[in-house]
Amino acid sequence: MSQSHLDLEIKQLIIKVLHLEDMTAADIDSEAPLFGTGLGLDSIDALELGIALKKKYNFSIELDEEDNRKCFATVNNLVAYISAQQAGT
Amino acid sequence: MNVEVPVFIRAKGAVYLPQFERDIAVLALTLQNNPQQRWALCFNDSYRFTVALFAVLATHKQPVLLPNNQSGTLAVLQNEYDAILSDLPDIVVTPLKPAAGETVLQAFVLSDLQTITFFTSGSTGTPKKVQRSLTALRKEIKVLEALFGADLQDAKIYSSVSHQHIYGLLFYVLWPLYAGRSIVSPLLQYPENLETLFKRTEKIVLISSPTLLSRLDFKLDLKLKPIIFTSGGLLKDSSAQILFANLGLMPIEILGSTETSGVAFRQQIKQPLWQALPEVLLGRDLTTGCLSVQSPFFDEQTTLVMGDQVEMNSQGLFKLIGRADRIVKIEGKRLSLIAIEQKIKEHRLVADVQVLKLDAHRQLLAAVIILNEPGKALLQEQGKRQLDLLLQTWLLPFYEAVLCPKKIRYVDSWPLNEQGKTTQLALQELFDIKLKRILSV
Repeated sequence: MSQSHLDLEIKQLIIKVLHLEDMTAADIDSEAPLFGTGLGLDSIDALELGIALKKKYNFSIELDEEDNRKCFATVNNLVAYISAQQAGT
Repeated sequence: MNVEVPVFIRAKGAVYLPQFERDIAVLALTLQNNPQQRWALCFNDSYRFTVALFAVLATHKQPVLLPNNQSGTLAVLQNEYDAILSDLPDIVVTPLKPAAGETVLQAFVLSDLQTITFFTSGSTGTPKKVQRSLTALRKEIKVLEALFGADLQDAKIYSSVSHQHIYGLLFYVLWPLYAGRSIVSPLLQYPENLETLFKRTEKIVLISSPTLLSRLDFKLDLKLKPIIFTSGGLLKDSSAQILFANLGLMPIEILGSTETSGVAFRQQIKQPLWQALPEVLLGRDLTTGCLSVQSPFFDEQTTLVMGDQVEMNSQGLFKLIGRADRIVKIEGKRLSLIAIEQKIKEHRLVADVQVLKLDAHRQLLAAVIILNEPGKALLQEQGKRQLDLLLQTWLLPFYEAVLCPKKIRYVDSWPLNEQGKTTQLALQELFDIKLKRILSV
């Protein structure tokens, strides 16, 4: 799957799973922080998103706090981590 | 304490008693060389938190557990502590003067009269301070061990809840230390972490909450069932049914609060009514219909009345039927609705606000806001999304993200029902939430 397609899919997933109102994929900046400021997501959103990503991409969540934070920091990071897992690296 | 059993099992490896004691003693020696008395402990890592806690106690200084580690909280409560020990990247730690020489603090003796300071959401604006003595904590731990110890045996203790609140501190840190069971860190966060954990062929105890337990969607046939404790919010009957059907599990639910500590327990699949923990005397306050508590697990010699309304039978077994105050739990975190309304009203663009808890796709806080003139102008210019983000970002230093309003509606006046009243229902209808999914607690 192309990275730009993955980028769009993930944004649509975020909006759908987290029930974000008044937003389309175009409103999400791939490089903007997802948590805290930026999109304003919280730890429950991370939980729900993690569950949804696992379902859709069989994406495994690392136990390491550091890796977790990096992975979920921006859409670009998510795309990178998921692509890497899909490529089997 | 059995010295063969690790005190902590960390990602880096096992920590045994001699190393644990030495880590405490080294920090205690440094603390002794610094004049500050009240130390706020803001830690992500449970081992480092525990070492810091005992080091502060060993030097007869005052450990302070803040309700959260948001920058706004640390600022608002700055008069409640003199120094900070922390491993968090955004917190400025108090610079410590290290002790000269190499002697390690010799045997430290803790006094039962020493206390730990907690803060919890008060029913008015400011967080409420609660002091808990080591005596009271010890009494509670002894009762927990007497009640559940035989089933726990030599299980390892895992957790998905923080050590920084009374529940996590007691169940994940102090009780295992007292009973000689290993504490495993780091905290577990995701359903798949639990799936991996449950498949292990060792005796496991999990200290958890409905936030995670209500989101498990896997089925396993478990020979060796983990023992699960849950607290911090109500475990819905639908969640309990699913856990039992999919995993054969019946979590032990604990009812309590920072003020009262542990109060009652149940396993709702076996018995839906709550029963008091041993040594706790419960009643029903006639004025408010709320649970009244007399207990050796807190230091006040008086009866404390909780905010939970109950129906109690002649044997003292009871069910919860709602709250008498405007304090709610959102995904396990306590929130005073009055306090957050007061805070939001402080914003320069807000004229008035009402908040409400919604049980939609998840528990969340919703806010209905009447903007002032500058606020209305900004809404026109920049749109709703920008204004939402502005307010949420402004609120973030004071309230954890989970508690900030996730859905906002801007109105010119309060919505009225047919009788001309602004009811919860009228507010809820602004959010299109189906009525039967609304949680009354």
